[in-house]
Amino acid sequence: MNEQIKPEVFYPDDELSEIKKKGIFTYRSERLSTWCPGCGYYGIETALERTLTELNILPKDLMIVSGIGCTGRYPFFAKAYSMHVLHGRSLPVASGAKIARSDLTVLALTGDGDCLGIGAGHLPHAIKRNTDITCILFDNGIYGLTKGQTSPMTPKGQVTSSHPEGNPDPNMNPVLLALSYGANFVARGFAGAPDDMKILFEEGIKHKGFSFIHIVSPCVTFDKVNYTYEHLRTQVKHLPRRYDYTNLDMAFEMARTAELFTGLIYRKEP
Amino acid sequence: MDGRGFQLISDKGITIEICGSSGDGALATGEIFTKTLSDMGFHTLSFDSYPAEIRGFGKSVAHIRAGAGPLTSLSRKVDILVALNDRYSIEQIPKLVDEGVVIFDNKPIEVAREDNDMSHRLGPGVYSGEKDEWVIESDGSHCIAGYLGPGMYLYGVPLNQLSQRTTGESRSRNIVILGVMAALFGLPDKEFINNLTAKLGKKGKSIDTIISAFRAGYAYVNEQIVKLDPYLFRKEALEKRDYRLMTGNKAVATAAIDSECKFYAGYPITPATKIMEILSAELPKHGGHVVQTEDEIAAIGFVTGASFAGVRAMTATSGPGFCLMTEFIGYNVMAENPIVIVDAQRAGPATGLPTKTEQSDLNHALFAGNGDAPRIVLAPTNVSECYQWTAEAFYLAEKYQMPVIMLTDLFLSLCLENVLIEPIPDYKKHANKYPTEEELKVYLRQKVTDDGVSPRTIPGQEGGCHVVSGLEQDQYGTPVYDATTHTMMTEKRFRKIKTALEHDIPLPERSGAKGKVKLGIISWGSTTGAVREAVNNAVNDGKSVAMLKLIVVAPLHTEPVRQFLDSCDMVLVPELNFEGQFANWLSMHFNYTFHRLNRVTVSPITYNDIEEEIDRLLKG
Repeated sequence: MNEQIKPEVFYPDDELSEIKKKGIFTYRSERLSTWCPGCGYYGIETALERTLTELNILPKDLMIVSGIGCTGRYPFFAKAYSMHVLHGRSLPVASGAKIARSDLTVLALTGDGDCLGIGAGHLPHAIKRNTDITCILFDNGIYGLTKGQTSPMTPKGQVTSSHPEGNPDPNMNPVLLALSYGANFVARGFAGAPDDMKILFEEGIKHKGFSFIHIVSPCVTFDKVNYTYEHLRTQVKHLPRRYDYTNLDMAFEMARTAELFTGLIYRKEP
Repeated sequence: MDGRGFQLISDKGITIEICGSSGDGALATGEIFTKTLSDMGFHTLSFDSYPAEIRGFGKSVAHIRAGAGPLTSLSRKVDILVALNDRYSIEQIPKLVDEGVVIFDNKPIEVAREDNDMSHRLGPGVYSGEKDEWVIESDGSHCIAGYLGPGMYLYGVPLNQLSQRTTGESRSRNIVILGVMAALFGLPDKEFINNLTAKLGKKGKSIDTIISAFRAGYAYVNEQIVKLDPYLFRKEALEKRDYRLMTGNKAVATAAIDSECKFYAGYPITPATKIMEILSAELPKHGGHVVQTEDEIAAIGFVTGASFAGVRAMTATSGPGFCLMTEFIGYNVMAENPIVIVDAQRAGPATGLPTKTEQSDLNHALFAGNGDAPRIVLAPTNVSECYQWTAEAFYLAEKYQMPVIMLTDLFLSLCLENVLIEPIPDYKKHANKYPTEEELKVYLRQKVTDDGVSPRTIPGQEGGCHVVSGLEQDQYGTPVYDATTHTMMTEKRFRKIKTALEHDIPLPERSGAKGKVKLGIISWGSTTGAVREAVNNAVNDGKSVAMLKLIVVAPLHTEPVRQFLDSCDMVLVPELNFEGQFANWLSMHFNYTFHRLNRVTVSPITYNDIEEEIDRLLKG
């Protein structure tokens, strides 16, 4: 990301007084979060709410669709028109809503099991269809809500409750998948860097078409090895200063490396 | 009978079959013939049977029944057989009535005689019963002429030669045969030419060539054939009605547009695909959207999202696709989201018999999904009800915020019937229960109400933000797992069914003999047409038979059904599945032993079948 672009204003001032007064709490329901203390998802939630505040999107025009898992609980803590749908099905539901009502801002929140496991078949088609929704992949490398089984993002060899001898398979690479399927907007963020995430969310929501944002986030309860703040900080790296996010070849190269490069990896201007 | 229109010679209608190999154009011919009869004001009912392969080895049969009065069923017996392919047509001969007519392609003569002299050894004639008289073996194939029963009428027409002569190729045999049929049965050529132009004018081939093929057939009959058979579409009094000729699929699609459905998502599957194809062309003109998704799970997901976003949405599929949609049925029950699913049933489990009809998805429609999941299941019985009940499905889904499953079947989906359509009243187009201003102050999406229906906001409404979920939620929308809430919310969801029964679901309709009867028939879905015709005939013959027609299969109005059971000495439930799924469903409500007529013969049931069963039961 080179520089932050000023957001557009969608509403007249008087309608926005609520957002000005309440800030990020505009988008919070009365229910308290049930995520574990220290969970990376709190960072994602705050960054997303700050983005929405700056973009001046009113809750009544915001639709959040989530699947099943820890990520899936997001709509209960949010104030919007929200659907907590079936496991893996957030992309079709969000796409249907957006096609039927193009005036809504539609976010599809999905976890690593949701997006890359049970619902993986929907991802290439959501990308190909290029419906104007923002897909945020909350990746904590584990099935947290069912207490720590192997997910498609669990690194090889990691001991989980479903693989006591260690996970025999390598993990997937969602950024590379999205690029290969032909996504026009691919970004990666880290739950421990809310300011960076905010910029990515902002660009993703403003992008006309399907945007895919992969957020790596620690699971503080079920992963003491790989998806921890300490270990992820050693892996996560900002994209180089002179990186050109319009160059697809460069994007593929970045996606293939062992490091987790964060930032706007690829964007095709419409 | 004062000479103002046309009338068939037979009161019971005439049945015509056009039989050919896939690719012979038998079905296109059948469609144009049906359309022309319909335009003249005849009541028509037609149904095609064809193999799953597009072209090659397979039998295609267009089956048309036409008459002056309303016809509700196909007939087992055929009056006129048009043979475009002798091998397949020979198999149809046993269905012919004793004085039936066969028109066949008089090709063997042409092959046999090299001078191409069209002498009429196989001209019009009444078969005497001597088999050798007609067998032709010039190219080793069997000619249908050798298989006729005594008393049948046979017309040989050199279709291939006439087609070659007028269009330069043999593919237009099916147009020539239209001319032959028109001339032979006394139909005016003008109407045919109009329909030919409308149907084939766009296909590139010059319409003049096509019409010349038609005229060649027409002229051949007038010049060369002496008519001997009694079948004639006569110029008689016929009440002119405002019929629209359509298939069940077309009726569903048309009704969806007329009901202000704005979103359709689906995945191609026989026989429901046509609904998507029609809507794909038409819905965007009405401000709607059609999406072809990657699978049926996504299709129903799209529909769920669109419906939540506030537009009327539907999907259509057949058994295998319906299986994939199962998880979202439960979701939409739980999230109280209105969706309409059309299941055009086909035969067999798994992939089964994709081009054959059956009524065997009833169990799945009634019980699909985990947990206690109330839903409404409808089964229209003919094409005009496909229209009416699609509109009703949208209304019920929106009003009661639950999935409505409409079961049609391959027969209903593809049969062409001319129907009279009633306009949909406005109140059925807008049935959402919006919250009042008072209710919006503290908006409860899952509010527990007396009728079970909670006020529903759609995105964009100030103060109406909420979350729906597949989890059990309390009135405020918070997921909770306690006994009290689960009991209260389950009762609320089932209360909607009770309210719907009280307010919107019509009582089952009884017809036939009044009062106490010896035999009652309860029917559902597309078998009802055959039952109706058989019962009418039986009552006219003085038999003590009555019928009860159920369109809404679930929930069931138990009291009227019980009264019907009490008024009958015995009750028959005919249906096209092996288990007797509907009889089983009734047995869950009533302690009663039903007579069952179950068939998995993959063809629609005819009134002849029901008549035989009535006679058997009344005798026994």
